[in-house]
Amino acid sequence: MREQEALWIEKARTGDDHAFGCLVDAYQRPVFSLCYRMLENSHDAEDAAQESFLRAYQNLKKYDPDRSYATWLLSIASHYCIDRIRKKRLPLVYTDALPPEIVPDRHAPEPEKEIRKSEQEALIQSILSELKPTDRAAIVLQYWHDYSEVEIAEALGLTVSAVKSRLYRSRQALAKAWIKADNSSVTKERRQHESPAF
Amino acid sequence: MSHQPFESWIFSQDPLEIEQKNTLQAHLESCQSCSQLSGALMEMEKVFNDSPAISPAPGFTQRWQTRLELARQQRQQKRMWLLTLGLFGGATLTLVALFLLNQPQINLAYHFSQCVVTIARLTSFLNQLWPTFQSLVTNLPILIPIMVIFGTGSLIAVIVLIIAWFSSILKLYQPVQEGVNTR
Repeated sequence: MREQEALWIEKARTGDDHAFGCLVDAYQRPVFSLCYRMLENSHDAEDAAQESFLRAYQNLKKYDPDRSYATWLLSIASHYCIDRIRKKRLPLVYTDALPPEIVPDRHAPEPEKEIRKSEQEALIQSILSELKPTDRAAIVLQYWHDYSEVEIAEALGLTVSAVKSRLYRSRQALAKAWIKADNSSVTKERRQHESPAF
Repeated sequence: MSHQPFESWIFSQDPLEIEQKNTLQAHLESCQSCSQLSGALMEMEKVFNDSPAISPAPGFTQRWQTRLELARQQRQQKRMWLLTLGLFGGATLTLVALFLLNQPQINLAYHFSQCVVTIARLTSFLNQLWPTFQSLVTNLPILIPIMVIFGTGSLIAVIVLIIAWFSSILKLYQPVQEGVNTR
Protein backbone atom coordinates (compact mmCIF):
# COMPACT_ATOMS: atom_id res chain seq x y z
CA MET A 1 0.00 0.00 0.00
CA ARG A 2 2.82 2.40 0.97
CA GLU A 3 4.67 1.71 -2.28
CA GLN A 4 1.50 2.09 -4.28
CA GLU A 5 0.75 5.36 -2.47
CA ALA A 6 4.26 6.68 -3.15
CA LEU A 7 3.83 5.81 -6.82
CA TRP A 8 0.48 7.64 -7.01
CA ILE A 9 1.99 10.70 -5.33
CA GLU A 10 4.94 10.70 -7.71
CA LYS A 11 2.66 10.41 -10.74
CA ALA A 12 0.24 13.05 -9.37
CA ARG A 13 3.15 15.43 -8.91
CA THR A 14 3.87 15.19 -12.63
CA GLY A 15 0.26 16.18 -13.35
CA ASP A 16 -1.42 12.78 -13.57
CA ASP A 17 -5.00 13.45 -12.46
CA HIS A 18 -5.91 9.78 -12.50
CA ALA A 19 -3.17 9.04 -9.94
CA PHE A 20 -4.47 11.78 -7.66
CA GLY A 21 -7.98 10.37 -8.16
CA CYS A 22 -6.66 7.08 -6.74
CA LEU A 23 -5.38 8.98 -3.68
CA VAL A 24 -8.80 10.62 -3.27
CA ASP A 25 -10.40 7.20 -3.52
CA ALA A 26 -8.06 5.76 -0.91
CA TYR A 27 -8.39 8.61 1.62
CA GLN A 28 -11.98 9.82 1.12
CA ARG A 29 -13.24 7.95 4.18
CA PRO A 30 -10.76 9.24 6.81
CA VAL A 31 -10.92 12.79 5.45
CA PHE A 32 -14.72 12.84 5.26
CA SER A 33 -15.02 11.25 8.69
CA LEU A 34 -12.72 13.88 10.23
CA CYS A 35 -14.68 16.68 8.55
CA TYR A 36 -17.98 15.18 9.71
CA ARG A 37 -16.82 14.94 13.33
CA MET A 38 -15.54 18.51 13.13
CA LEU A 39 -18.44 20.16 11.31
CA GLU A 40 -21.39 18.11 12.60
CA ASN A 41 -23.29 17.64 9.34
CA SER A 42 -22.72 15.74 6.13
CA HIS A 43 -23.33 18.73 3.85
CA ASP A 44 -20.48 20.78 5.34
CA ALA A 45 -18.34 17.64 5.71
CA GLU A 46 -18.66 16.83 2.00
CA ASP A 47 -17.73 20.39 1.03
CA ALA A 48 -14.79 20.51 3.47
CA ALA A 49 -13.48 17.11 2.36
CA GLN A 50 -13.66 18.13 -1.31
CA GLU A 51 -11.90 21.43 -0.55
CA SER A 52 -9.21 19.63 1.48
CA PHE A 53 -8.41 17.34 -1.46
CA LEU A 54 -8.35 20.33 -3.79
CA ARG A 55 -5.86 22.12 -1.54
CA ALA A 56 -3.77 18.97 -1.28
CA TYR A 57 -3.77 18.72 -5.08
CA GLN A 58 -2.78 22.37 -5.53
CA ASN A 59 0.02 22.07 -2.97
CA LEU A 60 1.28 18.60 -3.77
CA LYS A 61 4.67 20.02 -4.79
CA LYS A 62 5.12 21.27 -1.19
CA TYR A 63 4.52 17.80 0.27
CA ASP A 64 7.59 16.26 1.86
CA PRO A 65 7.68 12.54 0.93
CA ASP A 66 9.54 11.76 4.18
CA ARG A 67 6.38 12.64 6.10
CA SER A 68 3.26 10.51 6.19
CA TYR A 69 0.87 11.47 3.41
CA ALA A 70 -2.14 10.66 5.60
CA THR A 71 -0.91 13.01 8.34
CA TRP A 72 -0.26 15.77 5.79
CA LEU A 73 -3.72 15.33 4.28
CA LEU A 74 -5.50 15.20 7.64
CA SER A 75 -3.52 18.25 8.71
CA ILE A 76 -4.91 20.18 5.72
CA ALA A 77 -8.43 18.95 6.48
CA SER A 78 -8.12 19.78 10.22
CA HIS A 79 -6.88 23.31 9.57
CA TYR A 80 -9.55 23.90 6.97
CA CYS A 81 -12.29 22.72 9.36
CA ILE A 82 -10.88 24.80 12.25
CA ASP A 83 -10.84 27.92 10.05
CA ARG A 84 -14.34 27.16 8.80
CA ILE A 85 -15.74 26.80 12.34
CA ARG A 86 -14.10 30.09 13.35
CA LYS A 87 -15.49 31.89 10.31
CA LYS A 88 -18.98 30.50 10.73
CA ARG A 89 -20.91 33.19 12.56
CA LEU A 90 -24.42 31.76 12.63
CA PRO A 91 -25.20 28.05 12.86
CA LEU A 92 -26.89 26.80 9.70
CA VAL A 93 -29.40 23.98 9.95
CA TYR A 94 -29.40 21.46 7.14
CA THR A 95 -32.14 18.98 6.50
CA ASP A 96 -29.54 16.24 6.07
CA ALA A 97 -28.11 16.64 9.55
CA LEU A 98 -27.06 12.99 9.52
CA PRO A 99 -25.33 11.22 6.63
CA PRO A 100 -27.36 8.53 4.86
CA GLU A 101 -25.19 5.82 6.41
CA ILE A 102 -26.38 6.45 9.96
CA VAL A 103 -30.00 7.42 9.42
CA PRO A 104 -31.99 4.77 11.29
CA ASP A 105 -33.62 2.34 8.95
CA ARG A 106 -36.96 1.26 10.44
CA HIS A 107 -37.15 -1.66 7.99
CA ALA A 108 -33.76 -2.98 9.03
CA PRO A 109 -33.68 -6.37 10.81
CA GLU A 110 -32.86 -4.63 14.12
CA PRO A 111 -34.54 -1.20 14.04
CA GLU A 112 -33.99 -0.61 17.78
CA LYS A 113 -30.26 -1.12 17.37
CA GLU A 114 -30.27 1.28 14.43
CA ILE A 115 -32.14 3.92 16.43
CA ARG A 116 -29.77 3.52 19.39
CA LYS A 117 -26.82 3.89 17.02
CA SER A 118 -28.30 7.05 15.59
CA GLU A 119 -28.98 8.47 19.07
CA GLN A 120 -25.44 7.67 20.08
CA GLU A 121 -24.10 9.50 17.01
CA ALA A 122 -26.19 12.54 17.88
CA LEU A 123 -24.87 12.42 21.44
CA ILE A 124 -21.24 12.20 20.23
CA GLN A 125 -21.72 15.19 17.93
CA SER A 126 -23.46 17.20 20.62
CA ILE A 127 -20.72 16.72 23.19
CA LEU A 128 -17.96 17.26 20.62
CA SER A 129 -19.55 20.58 19.69
CA GLU A 130 -18.83 21.84 23.22
CA LEU A 131 -15.08 21.82 22.50
CA LYS A 132 -13.03 24.58 20.90
CA PRO A 133 -12.16 23.79 17.23
CA THR A 134 -8.50 22.87 17.83
CA ASP A 135 -9.35 20.76 20.90
CA ARG A 136 -12.06 19.00 18.89
CA ALA A 137 -9.56 18.25 16.11
CA ALA A 138 -7.12 16.78 18.66
CA ILE A 139 -9.83 14.54 20.15
CA VAL A 140 -11.08 13.40 16.72
CA LEU A 141 -7.54 12.56 15.59
CA GLN A 142 -6.92 10.60 18.77
CA TYR A 143 -10.13 8.60 19.00
CA TRP A 144 -11.12 8.12 15.36
CA HIS A 145 -7.73 8.06 13.68
CA ASP A 146 -5.67 6.47 16.48
CA TYR A 147 -3.10 9.26 16.32
CA SER A 148 -0.45 9.51 19.00
CA GLU A 149 0.23 12.81 20.76
CA VAL A 150 3.29 13.31 18.55
CA GLU A 151 1.27 12.74 15.37
CA ILE A 152 -1.48 15.10 16.58
CA ALA A 153 1.15 17.73 17.30
CA GLU A 154 2.54 17.28 13.79
CA ALA A 155 -0.88 17.46 12.17
CA LEU A 156 -2.07 20.50 14.10
CA GLY A 157 1.25 22.35 14.20
CA LEU A 158 1.41 22.32 18.02
CA THR A 159 4.01 21.20 20.54
CA VAL A 160 3.55 17.81 22.20
CA SER A 161 3.04 19.45 25.60
CA ALA A 162 0.35 21.73 24.14
CA VAL A 163 -1.40 18.66 22.70
CA LYS A 164 -1.19 16.90 26.08
CA SER A 165 -2.77 19.82 27.89
CA ARG A 166 -5.46 20.23 25.19
CA LEU A 167 -6.33 16.54 25.37
CA TYR A 168 -6.46 16.65 29.17
CA ARG A 169 -8.77 19.69 29.16
CA SER A 170 -10.94 18.22 26.42
CA ARG A 171 -11.34 14.82 28.11
CA GLN A 172 -12.34 16.62 31.31
CA ALA A 173 -14.90 18.78 29.47
CA LEU A 174 -16.24 15.79 27.54
CA ALA A 175 -16.70 13.68 30.69
CA LYS A 176 -18.64 16.53 32.34
CA ALA A 177 -20.76 17.00 29.19
CA TRP A 178 -21.36 13.25 29.13
CA ILE A 179 -22.66 13.29 32.72
CA LYS A 180 -24.89 16.27 31.88
CA ALA A 181 -26.26 14.57 28.74
CA ASP A 182 -26.79 11.35 30.68
CA ASN A 183 -28.71 13.15 33.43
CA SER A 184 -30.92 14.99 30.95
CA SER A 185 -31.70 11.76 29.05
CA VAL A 186 -32.63 10.04 32.34
CA THR A 187 -34.95 12.95 33.24
CA LYS A 188 -36.50 12.81 29.76
CA GLU A 189 -37.09 9.07 30.05
CA ARG A 190 -38.63 9.47 33.50
CA ARG A 191 -40.99 12.14 32.17
CA GLN A 192 -42.06 9.83 29.36
CA HIS A 193 -42.99 7.08 31.82
CA GLU A 194 -44.58 9.33 34.41
CA SER A 195 -48.28 8.83 35.13
CA PRO A 196 -50.53 11.83 34.50
CA ALA A 197 -50.93 14.25 37.43
CA PHE A 198 -54.66 13.72 37.83
CA MET B 1 -13.06 18.21 49.55
CA SER B 2 -10.01 18.38 47.30
CA HIS B 3 -10.10 16.13 44.26
CA GLN B 4 -6.47 16.71 43.38
CA PRO B 5 -4.33 14.94 42.30
CA PHE B 6 -7.01 12.33 41.60
CA GLU B 7 -8.79 14.32 38.89
CA SER B 8 -5.46 14.87 37.14
CA TRP B 9 -4.74 11.15 37.29
CA ILE B 10 -8.18 10.33 35.84
CA PHE B 11 -7.82 12.62 32.81
CA SER B 12 -4.10 12.42 32.17
CA GLN B 13 -3.01 9.85 29.61
CA ASP B 14 0.44 9.43 31.10
CA PRO B 15 0.90 5.98 32.70
CA LEU B 16 0.49 5.92 36.50
CA GLU B 17 2.81 4.27 39.02
CA ILE B 18 1.39 1.21 40.80
CA GLU B 19 1.18 3.17 44.05
CA GLN B 20 -0.69 5.99 42.31
CA LYS B 21 -3.08 3.48 40.75
CA ASN B 22 -3.88 1.98 44.16
CA THR B 23 -4.38 5.39 45.78
CA LEU B 24 -6.69 6.44 42.93
CA GLN B 25 -8.68 3.20 43.22
CA ALA B 26 -9.13 3.74 46.96
CA HIS B 27 -10.22 7.36 46.36
CA LEU B 28 -12.73 6.34 43.67
CA GLU B 29 -14.37 3.94 46.12
CA SER B 30 -14.96 6.74 48.62
CA CYS B 31 -15.53 9.78 46.36
CA GLN B 32 -18.76 9.84 44.37
CA SER B 33 -17.80 12.88 42.28
CA CYS B 34 -14.50 11.41 41.03
CA SER B 35 -16.07 8.01 40.57
CA GLN B 36 -18.81 9.56 38.41
CA LEU B 37 -16.23 11.44 36.31
CA SER B 38 -14.09 8.34 35.85
CA GLY B 39 -17.14 6.24 34.91
CA ALA B 40 -18.35 8.86 32.44
CA LEU B 41 -14.91 9.06 30.81
CA MET B 42 -14.71 5.29 30.40
CA GLU B 43 -18.24 5.08 29.02
CA MET B 44 -17.59 7.95 26.61
CA GLU B 45 -14.32 6.42 25.41
CA LYS B 46 -16.08 3.12 24.77
CA VAL B 47 -18.76 4.82 22.69
CA PHE B 48 -16.10 6.80 20.76
CA ASN B 49 -14.09 3.67 20.06
CA ASP B 50 -17.17 1.71 18.97
CA SER B 51 -18.36 4.49 16.69
CA PRO B 52 -17.22 3.77 13.13
CA ALA B 53 -15.59 6.13 10.63
CA ILE B 54 -18.24 7.67 8.40
CA SER B 55 -18.09 7.32 4.64
CA PRO B 56 -19.21 9.97 2.16
CA ALA B 57 -22.06 9.29 -0.24
CA PRO B 58 -21.03 7.14 -3.24
CA GLY B 59 -19.36 8.98 -6.13
CA PHE B 60 -17.13 11.20 -3.99
CA THR B 61 -14.13 10.93 -6.35
CA GLN B 62 -16.23 11.83 -9.41
CA ARG B 63 -17.64 14.83 -7.57
CA TRP B 64 -14.11 15.86 -6.64
CA GLN B 65 -12.98 15.59 -10.27
CA THR B 66 -15.88 17.84 -11.31
CA ARG B 67 -14.84 20.34 -8.65
CA LEU B 68 -11.23 20.24 -9.82
CA GLU B 69 -12.37 20.96 -13.38
CA LEU B 70 -14.47 23.88 -12.13
CA ALA B 71 -11.54 25.27 -10.11
CA ARG B 72 -9.33 25.04 -13.20
CA GLN B 73 -11.89 26.89 -15.32
CA GLN B 74 -12.19 29.63 -12.69
CA ARG B 75 -8.40 29.95 -12.56
CA GLN B 76 -8.23 30.14 -16.33
CA GLN B 77 -10.96 32.79 -16.38
CA LYS B 78 -9.12 34.84 -13.75
CA ARG B 79 -5.90 34.64 -15.76
CA MET B 80 -7.72 35.75 -18.90
CA TRP B 81 -9.23 38.71 -17.07
CA LEU B 82 -5.84 39.74 -15.69
CA LEU B 83 -4.23 39.39 -19.09
CA THR B 84 -6.98 41.44 -20.78
CA LEU B 85 -6.75 44.10 -18.10
CA GLY B 86 -2.95 44.22 -18.36
CA LEU B 87 -3.04 44.48 -22.16
CA PHE B 88 -5.75 47.14 -22.06
CA GLY B 89 -3.87 49.17 -19.44
CA GLY B 90 -0.60 48.85 -21.33
CA ALA B 91 -2.21 49.85 -24.63
CA THR B 92 -3.89 52.89 -23.03
CA LEU B 93 -0.63 54.05 -21.46
CA THR B 94 1.24 53.61 -24.74
CA LEU B 95 -1.42 55.57 -26.63
CA VAL B 96 -1.35 58.42 -24.09
CA ALA B 97 2.45 58.52 -24.20
CA LEU B 98 2.47 58.55 -28.01
CA PHE B 99 -0.16 61.28 -28.08
CA LEU B 100 1.80 63.48 -25.72
CA LEU B 101 5.06 62.94 -27.58
CA ASN B 102 3.44 63.81 -30.91
CA GLN B 103 1.98 67.11 -29.72
CA PRO B 104 4.69 69.75 -30.13
CA GLN B 105 2.37 72.49 -28.86
CA ILE B 106 2.02 70.73 -25.51
CA ASN B 107 4.81 71.88 -23.28
CA LEU B 108 5.20 69.25 -20.58
CA ALA B 109 7.51 71.41 -18.47
CA TYR B 110 5.00 74.26 -18.56
CA HIS B 111 2.07 71.97 -17.48
CA PHE B 112 4.17 70.49 -14.68
CA SER B 113 5.07 73.95 -13.37
CA GLN B 114 1.36 74.91 -13.54
CA CYS B 115 0.50 71.87 -11.35
CA VAL B 116 3.12 72.89 -8.79
CA VAL B 117 1.79 76.45 -8.72
CA THR B 118 -1.82 75.22 -8.18
CA ILE B 119 -0.75 72.97 -5.29
CA ALA B 120 1.19 75.88 -3.70
CA ARG B 121 -1.86 78.19 -4.01
CA LEU B 122 -4.15 75.56 -2.46
CA THR B 123 -1.74 75.10 0.47
CA SER B 124 -1.53 78.84 1.13
CA PHE B 125 -5.37 79.11 1.00
CA LEU B 126 -5.70 76.31 3.59
CA ASN B 127 -3.08 78.05 5.75
CA GLN B 128 -5.20 81.23 5.69
CA LEU B 129 -8.28 79.23 6.73
CA TRP B 130 -6.49 77.52 9.63
CA PRO B 131 -6.83 80.39 12.26
CA THR B 132 -10.58 80.66 11.49
CA PHE B 133 -11.00 76.92 12.00
CA GLN B 134 -8.99 77.04 15.25
CA SER B 135 -11.11 79.88 16.68
CA LEU B 136 -14.30 78.03 15.67
CA VAL B 137 -13.18 74.90 17.52
CA THR B 138 -12.24 76.95 20.61
CA ASN B 139 -15.49 78.94 20.73
CA LEU B 140 -17.93 76.23 19.57
CA PRO B 141 -18.60 74.77 23.06
CA ILE B 142 -19.52 78.29 24.28
CA LEU B 143 -21.74 79.10 21.30
CA ILE B 144 -23.55 75.74 21.11
CA PRO B 145 -24.98 74.13 24.26
CA ILE B 146 -23.30 70.91 25.35
CA MET B 147 -26.56 68.97 24.97
CA VAL B 148 -26.74 69.80 21.25
CA ILE B 149 -23.21 68.50 20.72
CA PHE B 150 -24.01 65.38 22.74
CA GLY B 151 -27.27 64.83 20.83
CA THR B 152 -25.62 65.26 17.42
CA GLY B 153 -22.82 62.90 18.46
CA SER B 154 -25.33 60.28 19.58
CA LEU B 155 -27.29 60.62 16.33
CA ILE B 156 -24.12 60.15 14.26
CA ALA B 157 -23.18 57.11 16.40
CA VAL B 158 -26.63 55.57 15.85
CA ILE B 159 -26.40 56.15 12.08
CA VAL B 160 -22.92 54.57 11.99
CA LEU B 161 -24.18 51.57 13.99
CA ILE B 162 -27.16 51.09 11.63
CA ILE B 163 -24.86 51.23 8.59
CA ALA B 164 -22.45 48.76 10.26
CA TRP B 165 -25.34 46.43 11.08
CA PHE B 166 -26.67 46.49 7.51
CA SER B 167 -23.23 45.92 6.02
CA SER B 168 -22.58 43.00 8.40
CA ILE B 169 -25.89 41.41 7.39
CA LEU B 170 -25.01 41.85 3.71
CA LYS B 171 -21.55 40.39 4.32
CA LEU B 172 -23.02 37.43 6.20
CA TYR B 173 -25.15 36.41 3.25
CA GLN B 174 -22.25 36.54 0.83
CA PRO B 175 -20.34 33.30 0.16
CA VAL B 176 -17.07 33.06 2.10
CA GLN B 177 -14.00 33.18 -0.14
CA GLU B 178 -11.26 31.05 1.35
CA GLY B 179 -7.59 31.27 0.44
CA VAL B 180 -5.30 28.30 0.08
CA ASN B 181 -3.97 27.24 3.46
CA THR B 182 -1.71 24.28 3.88
CA ARG B 183 -0.19 24.85 7.27
